[in-house]
Amino acid sequence: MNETISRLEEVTYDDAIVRKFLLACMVFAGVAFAAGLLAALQLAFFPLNMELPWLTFGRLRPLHTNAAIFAFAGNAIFAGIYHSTQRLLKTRMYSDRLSAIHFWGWQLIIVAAAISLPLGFSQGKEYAELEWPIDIAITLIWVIFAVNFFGTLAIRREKHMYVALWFYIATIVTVAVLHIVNSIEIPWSYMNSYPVWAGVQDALVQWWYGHNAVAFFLTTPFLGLMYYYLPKAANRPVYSYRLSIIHFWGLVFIYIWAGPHHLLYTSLPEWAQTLGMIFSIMLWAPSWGGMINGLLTLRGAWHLLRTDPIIKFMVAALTFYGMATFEGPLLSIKSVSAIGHYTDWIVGHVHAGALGWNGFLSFAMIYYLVPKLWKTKLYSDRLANVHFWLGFLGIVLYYVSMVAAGITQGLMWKAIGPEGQLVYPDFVETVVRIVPLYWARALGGAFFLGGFMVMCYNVYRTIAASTEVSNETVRVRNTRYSSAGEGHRALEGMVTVFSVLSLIAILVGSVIEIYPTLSLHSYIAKTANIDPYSPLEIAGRDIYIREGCYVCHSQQIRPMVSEVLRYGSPSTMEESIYDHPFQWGSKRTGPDLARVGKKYPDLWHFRHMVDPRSVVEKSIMPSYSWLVKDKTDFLSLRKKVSVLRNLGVPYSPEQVAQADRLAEEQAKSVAQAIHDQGGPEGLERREIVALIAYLQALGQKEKQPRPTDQVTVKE
Amino acid sequence: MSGFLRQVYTDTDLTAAGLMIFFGFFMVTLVWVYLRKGAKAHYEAMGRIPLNEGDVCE
Repeated sequence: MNETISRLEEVTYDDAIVRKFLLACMVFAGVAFAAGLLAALQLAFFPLNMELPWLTFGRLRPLHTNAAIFAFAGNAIFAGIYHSTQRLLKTRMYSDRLSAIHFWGWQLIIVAAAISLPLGFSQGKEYAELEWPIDIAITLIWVIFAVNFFGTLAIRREKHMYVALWFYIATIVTVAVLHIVNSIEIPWSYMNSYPVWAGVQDALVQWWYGHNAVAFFLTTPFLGLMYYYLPKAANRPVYSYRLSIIHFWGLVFIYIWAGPHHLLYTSLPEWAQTLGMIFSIMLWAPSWGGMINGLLTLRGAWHLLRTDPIIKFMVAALTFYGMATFEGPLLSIKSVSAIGHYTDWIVGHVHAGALGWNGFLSFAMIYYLVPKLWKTKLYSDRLANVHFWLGFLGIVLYYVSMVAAGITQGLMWKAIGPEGQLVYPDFVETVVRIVPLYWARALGGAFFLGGFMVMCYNVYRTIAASTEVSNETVRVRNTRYSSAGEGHRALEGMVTVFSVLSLIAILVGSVIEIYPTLSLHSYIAKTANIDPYSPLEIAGRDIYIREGCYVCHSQQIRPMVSEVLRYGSPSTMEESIYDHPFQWGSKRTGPDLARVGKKYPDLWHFRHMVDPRSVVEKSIMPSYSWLVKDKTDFLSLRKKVSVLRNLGVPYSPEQVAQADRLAEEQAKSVAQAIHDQGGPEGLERREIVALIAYLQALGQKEKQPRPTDQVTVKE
Repeated sequence: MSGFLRQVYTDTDLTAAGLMIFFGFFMVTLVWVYLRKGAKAHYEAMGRIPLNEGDVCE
């Protein structure tokens, strides 16, 4: 190293902002875990929604996922980044004011999400449900965070950027790109919008976002935290700094390509599916490189595992990271996906990562930081150990029950008898079989929440015993060397170049995957054989999205014999071409709905929504009785249809101008049909009629249905 | 332009070239990090950064 100038300077870190993010992390962790437990219990015992719309699974699940990702994990990331960045760069954050705006802005966003999601304001895209005003707020706050972070890099006293900072840079750059591209939407009211992407485009953009939200919000920042806090806790350097460089570039290059593995066997083009599968398998190498680098950091210090709860949490976190990053590529292999996709196996996989990797690493960081930030000792190591074992037992129970449930259900769906018939033709048979495992999962969640509450008590007692809370001041050496070194060493000192290279690394995969799919519509439009939804069906579709039906029902029939027998011919790219947003779904707690239209009479749907057990005896679906009371918003339909027309859906100007009248006419006819079939009368202005109109339209929009001999199965 | 790009996507030679570029990038990074003269000592020093954060002022 060329240290031509090196002098001692005093710096006072802004630890107040770290304390704030840490406490916010703990508060919202409680909310996320409690919402998750309630959601898990509702799947085992449906009456727990108490027939309250805002407490029903379809609205609760987005609240749980958003709280877990953006509130709990988000605040944990920010706490760790603000704490470690200042120390790694030997400087205070660039601006205390920007730090404060970031903190309060982020909490405001979380509160807005916590209010709007239960009220049903949703874009219907997983992990991106938040509506357009909140999307804009996220963008602004993220930019403020970025300015503050890069400003801190600019005023640093340590010229070399330690590997943790590279992961933070990749996070900031990539999350910005993902969020902006996936959130391009046109508002039709002050709290509602339609995405500009539709059908297969929207599916690819959404899962490019969804997968990389996991990659760049739940993986890269946590790897950065691991690379900082593990050496600190073990008091020894990372096993191989050189391996960390390979780990970083390998991960950011490969991760961005893997999104399509969420869409295997769908109507996404085959080449994109193959690309997603291949790159997912390639991810094994950098992921395990990072895990091994972390675990080997403890070489010669494994005895700490017996005595230090922080190390215990970190080792378990890394082990869960290794397990989840082994299982992820495994599930991306098409033949494995054929069994695992749409089942609870995926839910188990996600929670091994979220609870084991993100949860345990965050807990380790909290146990490390709280005594340091409040300048005291941890109240009880024993309670921290209790927390560890309760949490560990909870994750194991959760994971094992969900994998067992997923494989059971996946195999039951696919079981075909000697006569070529489905062995379990009634979908509900496959649900009833796994309900006991839903109870086991809820028990696992309760253990995990119990452990977390033990930690809250431990942290509370620790903070209560603190007599001094102040910012840390240190004397540091300012390492301004005249030449930044050579090759990668020079790169590590050049913030802008490094950031641009990271951006290029993630853009290459993004553009190559997304561009051709964005141009697909120019091919499809010429041969489009699909009618757009009627205005009443649009109203019904918005109710479907508001109630979060997509979290339990898919609309995508895979080209498999068992699926064709159960649901009908495989879904095509054309069928969802006007779907803003797409509703292919990712989970089948209930059956696929892609071709449910005209399968049952209107009255069947009416009874099913009011009391699902009246038509499917063992159904676990909650009652949606409020749809019979609430009125359809006909007035907004002109605006909605107009926005969709501007997005390319082929409505005529007359259809836009008369959207409300057309909807009212269709509603009268559906309401009359329900009455004629023996149902109540006078339902034409009720939401349930709009929803039934939409459900009856699913799979019925082809102008000329394809002959059945053209159906191709690929498995 | 878009017609040209669509044509490019179906060119298997270019796909193979893309794969080679990726593999090449990986190999260059590997050589750069592991085989360059003096790299080991430098990176060992860099790995110690979190452990050398200065002296706390009382």
